[in-house]
Amino acid sequence: MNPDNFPKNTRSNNHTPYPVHGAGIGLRRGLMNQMFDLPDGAVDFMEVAPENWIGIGGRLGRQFREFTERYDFLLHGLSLSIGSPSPLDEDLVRSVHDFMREHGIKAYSEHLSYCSDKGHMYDLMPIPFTEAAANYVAERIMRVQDILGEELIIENVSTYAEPGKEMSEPEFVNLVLEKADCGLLMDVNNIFVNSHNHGGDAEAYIKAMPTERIRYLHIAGHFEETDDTFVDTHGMEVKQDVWDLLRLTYQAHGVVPTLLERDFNFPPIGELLDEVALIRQIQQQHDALKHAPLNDILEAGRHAV
Amino acid sequence: MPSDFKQLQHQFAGHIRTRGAEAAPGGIPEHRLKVYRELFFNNVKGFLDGTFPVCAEVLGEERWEYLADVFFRTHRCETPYFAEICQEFLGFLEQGYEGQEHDPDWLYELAHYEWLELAVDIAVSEQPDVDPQGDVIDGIPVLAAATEAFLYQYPVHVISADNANPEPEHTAIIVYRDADEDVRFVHTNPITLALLSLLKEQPLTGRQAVHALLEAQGIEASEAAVNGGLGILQQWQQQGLVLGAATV
Repeated sequence: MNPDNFPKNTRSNNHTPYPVHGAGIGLRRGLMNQMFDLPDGAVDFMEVAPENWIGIGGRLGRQFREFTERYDFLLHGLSLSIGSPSPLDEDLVRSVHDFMREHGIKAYSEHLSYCSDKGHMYDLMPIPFTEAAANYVAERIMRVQDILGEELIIENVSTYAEPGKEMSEPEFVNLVLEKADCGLLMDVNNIFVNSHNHGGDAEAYIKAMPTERIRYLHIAGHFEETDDTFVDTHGMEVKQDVWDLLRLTYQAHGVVPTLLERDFNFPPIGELLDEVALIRQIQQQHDALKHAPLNDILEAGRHAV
Repeated sequence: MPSDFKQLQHQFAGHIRTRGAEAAPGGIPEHRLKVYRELFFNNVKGFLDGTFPVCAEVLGEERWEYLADVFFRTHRCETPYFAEICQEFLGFLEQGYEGQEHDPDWLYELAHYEWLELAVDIAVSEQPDVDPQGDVIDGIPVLAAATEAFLYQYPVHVISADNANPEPEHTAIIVYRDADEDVRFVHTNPITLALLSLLKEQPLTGRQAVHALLEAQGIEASEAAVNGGLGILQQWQQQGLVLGAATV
């Protein structure tokens, strides 16, 4: 891999809405040993769940520090339960705030979801798509942003049920974004999975997202549990349909920093780096198209992967 | 009906938490509910499997699954942090769980012993300045990072599928993180454990700690007894349990 393919200085963070740039990968404990030896420039940024790393010392804590000193980092939270009927865990927000300072972390995202009611359940449940719920979640997001002193980025989640739905998911996401005045982490795989599971139009969903609020993207592999149900496992390679939607996203919203998520069933790191390289390749193709005369665009379109 | 969505959320969560015993909100196909029920339970059980492999093995899959099931259904986890889920499980075993007739008496202790390895491995530990060659007898011994010491009623360190019914036996165990950041276990005796506890509690020189120990144990501070205690400190220094003496 040639690290010069996507030089870091082509985009300045000062002049974009993006906290990072280029193509990233989620740092997981099961991948750490392989990821120590990545060549410079192989990956532009990394992401972890703060709930996996806050309060961790010893060897793991020291190794994590080595990563945050080398790479731009984002936090992608799992336990904030922003849509929960239970009180907001403000202590967690403060701990995240301190952790971000300690490690120079660029931004914090969370799931537009809930994962607790009378206690933590450690996985994501769907918020009913209603106006009252949107108002409720938006108020909690604003409270988080007050404590953090910066923007919270929320992510559309994969779901297998839509209890209490009174509007479409893109409508709900838009409503929350607008009311809370927060950022969006758009998960392309989740849009694909949900469109399959609930019969929506993934392309229309992507186009309906507000460009100016998008901060970065996720892509991942999913598991086709049955013809009728796709599960967002992050346990296998990214499917062709999702790559196609990534291209569509760049067409609709411009090139956005994009992170590959892989949570288990780890292949040799080279296979994941190939996927990261493909993200970059698609980003470069889009950049090239944007700046090329029409004939070149048509020509490139014929040769696009 | 302004807060109806919250009721739906409670109902949905309650269905998952009770593994289907409480009804889900209407209109959701059963196979989709099953996806949620399994994702959630398997996720939590995965944390338990990873931290308590010996408990799981000795109890056998059926009883281990039963335990995970009761934990999942009944215990209200307070922590947002994943490494602390296993601490929640210990709290559940200690307080929330009504043991079954065939549960072994050592269950909590073995779980605690297994958790200890994780806890010591990841504990945040700030070390004072230490002179590795320092005098641990007339200086203040500095213990290795995250040193913990426990007295169990059962020999937790030898319980296995082949040794599932050990006799009760006072078992003193010291766990610490050595200079290479590896977790080390030392099987010792209750008096030695008491010496370690004294050093953990307050800054004493090695000699002061040994005298305090002998006094607390009602043992005469003969030259042999004192030297015995001091010998332990020097042995610990060699093992890396004592890193050296605090620099003044």
